[in-house]
Amino acid sequence: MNSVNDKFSELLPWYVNGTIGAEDRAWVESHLEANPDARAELDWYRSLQTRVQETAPAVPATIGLARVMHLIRGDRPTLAERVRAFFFGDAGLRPAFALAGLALVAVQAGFIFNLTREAQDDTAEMRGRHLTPVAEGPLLKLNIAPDTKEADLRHLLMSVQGSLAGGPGQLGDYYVRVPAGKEAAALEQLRASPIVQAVTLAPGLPPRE
Amino acid sequence: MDNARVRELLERIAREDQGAFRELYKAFSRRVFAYVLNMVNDHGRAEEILVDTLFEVWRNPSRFRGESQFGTWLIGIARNKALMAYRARRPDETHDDLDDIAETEPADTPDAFAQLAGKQRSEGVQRCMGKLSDEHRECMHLVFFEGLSLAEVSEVQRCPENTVKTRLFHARQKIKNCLRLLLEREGGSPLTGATA
Repeated sequence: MNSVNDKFSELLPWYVNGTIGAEDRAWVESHLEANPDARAELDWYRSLQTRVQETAPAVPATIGLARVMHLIRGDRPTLAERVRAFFFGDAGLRPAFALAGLALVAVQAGFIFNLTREAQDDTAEMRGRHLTPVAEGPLLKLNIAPDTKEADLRHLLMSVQGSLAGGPGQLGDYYVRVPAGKEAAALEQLRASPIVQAVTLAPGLPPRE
Repeated sequence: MDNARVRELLERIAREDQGAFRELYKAFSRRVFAYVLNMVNDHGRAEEILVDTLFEVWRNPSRFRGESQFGTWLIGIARNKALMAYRARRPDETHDDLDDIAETEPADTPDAFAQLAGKQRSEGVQRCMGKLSDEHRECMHLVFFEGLSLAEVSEVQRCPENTVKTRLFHARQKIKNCLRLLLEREGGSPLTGATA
């Protein structure tokens, strides 16, 4: 074989399957024109291509589809896997998201801690404030809502200048002594409070339970 | 199916759209199956590898970056799986005189080509393809069945373009000689330009 024939044979498969470049295509076509006998080899390649394509297996496009769908249904990740994949997924770490998540958790933790501390401070402040015990004076019997916080109760007592004289009893009653002459104002104020369910003047402390 | 449509489907698959996956699967399953069957010559194994290949697309749709045709990329995945799973010779293969195909230069006369072109049948081509080495058979399949370009075959086979040309040249010689022997056996007389 000479080099021209070698080149022709080398280019022919790509000419037949249609992927040859424009320049090479032009060369092949001019060679075919100048050498009519060369067309026999081209015809053979074309026939070969047809026969190869005829060997395609006669299978439906859905071959194996049921199996892969079964795999897909069994492959649904758990919530934990999804969260992990989001932060540390296939595309590698997502540091921005991961750091942002950690920062958010830290800020929330700090905020909650601050709120707790502030609440503690309020309570401490209230506890620190000296409630002047009222030794003498009329007694008021209060029934307080069961979910009342200690801090709210202290606020309430301070607002009427009262001091806790007894309670809570078995029925949840508190006895509060208020300065003499201020019982009417205290009663009115206590009745207006949302945490007071009932309030009356009491004749005295009940006997020890 | 063009790459633009493939990208649309892959984006939906990333959102776990099973309908999009089915569409993609049906568009490429036969091509991938034909390629793998050509490699492993076993329907069951070929189907397993097909399923495995497409399942990988479901799991990692973002792996395809559009740098090549999706079909070529998919065949690359299937090829790796086929090579890992099974590359032994066909278990039921028996030796016959077609295995002794000489790679001598036959007389490539126009008559010889014309007789081959006129008489060769798909069964004979398939049989002779089966006698080629794995690389040569794969090369023939990629060129004449898949219609891939030289660069694409080189990419799939992971070898230089000159190696593809060499493989194709040897495959051509062997398959031509094999077909001649086969036709001579059927016809009882030597074909014009047959290998001496």
